[in-house]
Amino acid sequence: MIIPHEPKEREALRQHAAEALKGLYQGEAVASPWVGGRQAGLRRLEALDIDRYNREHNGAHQEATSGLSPYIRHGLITLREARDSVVSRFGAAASRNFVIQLLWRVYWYLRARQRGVASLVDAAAGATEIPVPQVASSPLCIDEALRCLRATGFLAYHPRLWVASYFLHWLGIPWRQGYRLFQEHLIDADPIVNALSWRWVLGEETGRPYFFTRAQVERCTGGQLCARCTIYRCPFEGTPEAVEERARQPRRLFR
Amino acid sequence: MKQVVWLLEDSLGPIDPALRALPEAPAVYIYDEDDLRAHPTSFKRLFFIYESLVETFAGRSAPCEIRRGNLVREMIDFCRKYGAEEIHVTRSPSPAYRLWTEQLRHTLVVVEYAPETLVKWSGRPPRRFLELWEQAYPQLLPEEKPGAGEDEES
Repeated sequence: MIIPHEPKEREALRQHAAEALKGLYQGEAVASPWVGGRQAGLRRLEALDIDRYNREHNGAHQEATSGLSPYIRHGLITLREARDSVVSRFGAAASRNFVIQLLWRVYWYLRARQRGVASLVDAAAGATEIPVPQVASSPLCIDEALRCLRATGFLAYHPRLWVASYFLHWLGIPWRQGYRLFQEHLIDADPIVNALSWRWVLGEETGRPYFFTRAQVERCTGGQLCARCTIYRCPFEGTPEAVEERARQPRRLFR
Repeated sequence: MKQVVWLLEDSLGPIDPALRALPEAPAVYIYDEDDLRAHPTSFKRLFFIYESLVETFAGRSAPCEIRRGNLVREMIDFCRKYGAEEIHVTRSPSPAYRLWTEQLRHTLVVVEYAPETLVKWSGRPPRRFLELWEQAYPQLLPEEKPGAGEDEES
């Protein structure tokens, strides 16, 4: 079946796509704030303020990151273009953090070439019987990340890790289910990066599971989420070792 | 032999190597219904893809189509419509891609293009990010010294 593709203003395009793609998507036909197309990607790249990026890229809010991952994932701008643009404008030293993030993508793709690793990705991507997890109320850092994921199709880097760590180490949700949740909602969802990132949080890539602490959440959110969180006792309080120890106890969620 | 270009989710822009190599060839993107029904997907990503394709195709004078259906059947139908026997596509690492191309090769010729890479790497895959970083930084940040932490991720 052919789907017409005449250029129109965004809302008209959304309405048209909502109808033309009916039956192929889950949930409401809401557009992401991320506008598709190479031009939008180039505008983001050109607008990138490297000083702000270096200061804030570990922040939890969406604009803390470069926001380029949907464009890179879909081949609308290349890693090489992103690297060249930033290094030529800001120099090598200031571009270091940004280039490291670009290189992680290369790393996951190279890792996926390894025998056992490729079959893991295939198995996760091919599985159809695994349900997407439904999670009841959680600490606010998790709730807020999940709300943001569903509402916009995008999450900054740290909230992705928090959700994954909470699902795997606290709720005991199998990584493939978490993988499916991200695969369903993220506009930059990529089977390889997604699967291997979940495995990384699990500790399968490094031999060291990823745990986060309340102090990290406070730092990444300017303390705003923790101040509003109504959970009885924060499970992420203390050092990473203390958090890990707590997660391994039988009654691990102290509500 | 007549040719068409097949776009995949990994490479939707006008900079796609196959699109650039064949500016006069008809091009197509297909939403695979079987795949999407088996794997729940929010409208946001499907619309991001659609919006991207509208822009990419608007800049092209050759015929371009967006379709939905069984990918292999739609692809064969598209080739028949334009009398093409050769599909030009930028290689995708996605698991579904391997299955689709295997089936398409029963009836059509599939010509693959390599996606652009940021870093040259040969031999066995790196075991740690640091291993890649140490080899990559002289290419990527010529004035820089190594020392990337392993606590960061894309």
